[in-house]
Amino acid sequence: MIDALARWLQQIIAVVLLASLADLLLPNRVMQRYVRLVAGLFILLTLITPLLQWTRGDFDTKLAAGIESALRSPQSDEDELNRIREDGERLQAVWTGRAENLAAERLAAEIRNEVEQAEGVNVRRVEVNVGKSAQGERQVESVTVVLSAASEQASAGGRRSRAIADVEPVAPVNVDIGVPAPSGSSESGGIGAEAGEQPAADRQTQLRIAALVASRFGLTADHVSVVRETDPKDGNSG
Amino acid sequence: MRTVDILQIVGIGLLVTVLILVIREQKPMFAFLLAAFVGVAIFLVMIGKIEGVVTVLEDLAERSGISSVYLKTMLKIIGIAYIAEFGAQIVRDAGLESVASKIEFAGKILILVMAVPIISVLIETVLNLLPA
Repeated sequence: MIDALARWLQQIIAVVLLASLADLLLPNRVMQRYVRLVAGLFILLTLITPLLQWTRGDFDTKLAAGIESALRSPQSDEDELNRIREDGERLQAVWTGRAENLAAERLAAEIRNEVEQAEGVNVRRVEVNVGKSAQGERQVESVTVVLSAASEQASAGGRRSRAIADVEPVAPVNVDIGVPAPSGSSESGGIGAEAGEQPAADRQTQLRIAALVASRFGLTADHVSVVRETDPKDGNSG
Repeated sequence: MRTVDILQIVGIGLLVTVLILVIREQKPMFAFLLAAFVGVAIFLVMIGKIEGVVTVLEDLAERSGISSVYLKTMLKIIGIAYIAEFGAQIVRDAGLESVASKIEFAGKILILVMAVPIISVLIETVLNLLPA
């Protein structure tokens, strides 16, 4: 407290000294009135510095910025400010997008691990859609878990050792990559639409996975859809 | 020119005054040019000297903890006042009182422009203090 008071008094003395020196240095009487005005304002500003620091944080930088912009070109001040604001918003949007992507990727990896460990099935990919809620907050809108096609699943499920099961079926999958179930239909149809074409055991697995993901990651069940990747070989044989 | 003292300056001033008085009869134009040149020369020499004063002032400001904005603004104001005054006097010597007063006017305006941010900060503070 005493320290702050001492600093305040020091500042006042320094500013008064400065003002008197400026007054002394002036060439003639014409400018004197104006310089005295500015010097008086500075002294006043120093006197109310504690008040200023109380009401607002960093008025020094604001004052410096104001003086700088007044010196340069007062009329372009507004444009400059708008431009900087736009830049800031653009950058913020970019960062938010990156953070969203990162969070979605992490979440997808977590879900994939969880499902593979719990159910022992092969997960082809996990799609996480992030959107905005009505309050403007980010939230997960839908999660789509795409399981590997049934033909692979049989081989993968038969052997429990996943390290080998993961590696072997890669070759056929690369061929089928253009034929996965369109995500639009799986989102709208959900589990029920797929259920008609698939065996009951498979449907049970999908329901279990959906429930598991919903409960583990705090989502509502209708936001989670589990689909099996359609396989042309599978379609012919079954 | 390290040890410029007042005698040298006054000597140059007197010399130039005599020269101008002599030349003015034949060539008023050269008399004016000479006066302007000597004015600029003395000004520049003295500006170099003032650096020491500014350093001391900066030191004082830094030690007492006042914002460097204050010192910079004050120095800028002094500079504006000097330069405006200097230009106005040269023009006045040439006999153009109206142009000289315009230069002084510009100097005043520029000084006042610097006061605007301070005034706005003060007014904002006062308005913030008042209950809405």
